[in-house]
Amino acid sequence: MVARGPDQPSRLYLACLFLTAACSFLPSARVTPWTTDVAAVLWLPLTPPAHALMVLRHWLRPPRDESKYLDSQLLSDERDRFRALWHSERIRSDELEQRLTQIERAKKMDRGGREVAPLLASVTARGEGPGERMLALNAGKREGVQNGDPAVVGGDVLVGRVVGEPTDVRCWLAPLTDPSTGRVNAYIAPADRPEAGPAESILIQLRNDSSGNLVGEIEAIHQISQGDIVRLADPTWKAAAQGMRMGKVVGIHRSDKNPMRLRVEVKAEVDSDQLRQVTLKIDAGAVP
Amino acid sequence: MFILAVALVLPIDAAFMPVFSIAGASPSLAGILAAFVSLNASRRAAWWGCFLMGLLVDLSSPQLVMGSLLFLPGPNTLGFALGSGTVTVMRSLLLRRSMLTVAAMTFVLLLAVSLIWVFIWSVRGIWLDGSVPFSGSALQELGKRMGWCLSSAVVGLPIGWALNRTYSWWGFPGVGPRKF
Repeated sequence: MVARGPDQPSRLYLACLFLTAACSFLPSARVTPWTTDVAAVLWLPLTPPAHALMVLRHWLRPPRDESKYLDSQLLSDERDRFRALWHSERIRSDELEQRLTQIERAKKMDRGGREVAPLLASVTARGEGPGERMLALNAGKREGVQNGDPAVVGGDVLVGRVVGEPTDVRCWLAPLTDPSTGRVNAYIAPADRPEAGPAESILIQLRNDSSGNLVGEIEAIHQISQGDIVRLADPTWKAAAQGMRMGKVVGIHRSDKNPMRLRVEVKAEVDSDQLRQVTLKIDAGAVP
Repeated sequence: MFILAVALVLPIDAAFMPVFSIAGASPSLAGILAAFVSLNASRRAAWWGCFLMGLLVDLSSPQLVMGSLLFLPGPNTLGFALGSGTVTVMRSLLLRRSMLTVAAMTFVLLLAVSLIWVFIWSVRGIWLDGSVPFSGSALQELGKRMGWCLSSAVVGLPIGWALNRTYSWWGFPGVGPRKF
């Protein structure tokens, strides 16, 4: 057997490369359980310095409008809770009207009737790479955070939702503009009547595009204009997220593929790059 | 020294580097460190070091796949390994202890990382997961990542200068006092 020179990769290195390449193409179900644990162990000692660096970063480059995102105030939290409740109830009542049987109506009432507790969480880290990335928050199962809990700033501006299973002290937040968020149902309320409910608004399904905006299509007969408010109305999101503000309409164009439809561009109200803290809306029943 | 540098660079990348971000592209210190090590360390040490760094980056950057968080060891690991391999092949033609070289090689290394990252996730998207963790086409994502490579290369100038100042601390095999 010929020995390998110092300028050639060792067999062990080649084996590791091969193993990693094989791992890269394993089904997610086979990779998720063990890599999540390894990552949690790896990040345990790195979280305190990361948190300190995040504080330093926000000291050096504060968010553009700090006062807009002061979530820590009790007043803001109260407003947040009541707005959420109000919007949620309105959407639920619209849905209830469409239900045909008493049983289905009862189910809907159960779904919307959950009490929400606000929980402040700091952003401690971000995923690697350019563009929108997931944010690591310093709150986890210990505080009652669950998969799917929505995060807001400034009262009712939706940032995204918790994804994956949180650890005891940490969870990951996927911003609205992250491609993993997928398609989201929403409604467009006129700028001059921002509190209009879904029944008097235009329903739209939004998805991410490469420019970082959310885009969707509506029929050309609808009247919308730039600056109109877009709110979430998606049953796959938790009730606490319903009716929260996602962004504003920034562009309206005729669809190239279908001239009878309008392509609507929505810019998210929050730049996740600038976030320091978010308010998680967790189920009050889950709080230990 | 390398382990210490990696332990410093990872939290800085995750928490602090967005302070330098332009249009969402925040520079990667891990890429700069990998380029510096690939330029100066022995080949095997450079390959192993970059492999390890890529693995740690993978384990700190989850993607949401089919509703669950996925820390996939591979895209960055193999990318850093390929990038390091490319730099070690090219380095005999370069003035290794120049900050310009560190910056240029940071660009090359992160370009390799981007190619592998986009390739692996695209393949997974087609055959395994049904979706990719980026919006738009693979080419658009590569375009975005070019901005990331470029911003890292620009930050690589001062960091490369600083790293070259610490050259004697790293215990690299002697390559003579070549200096730009």
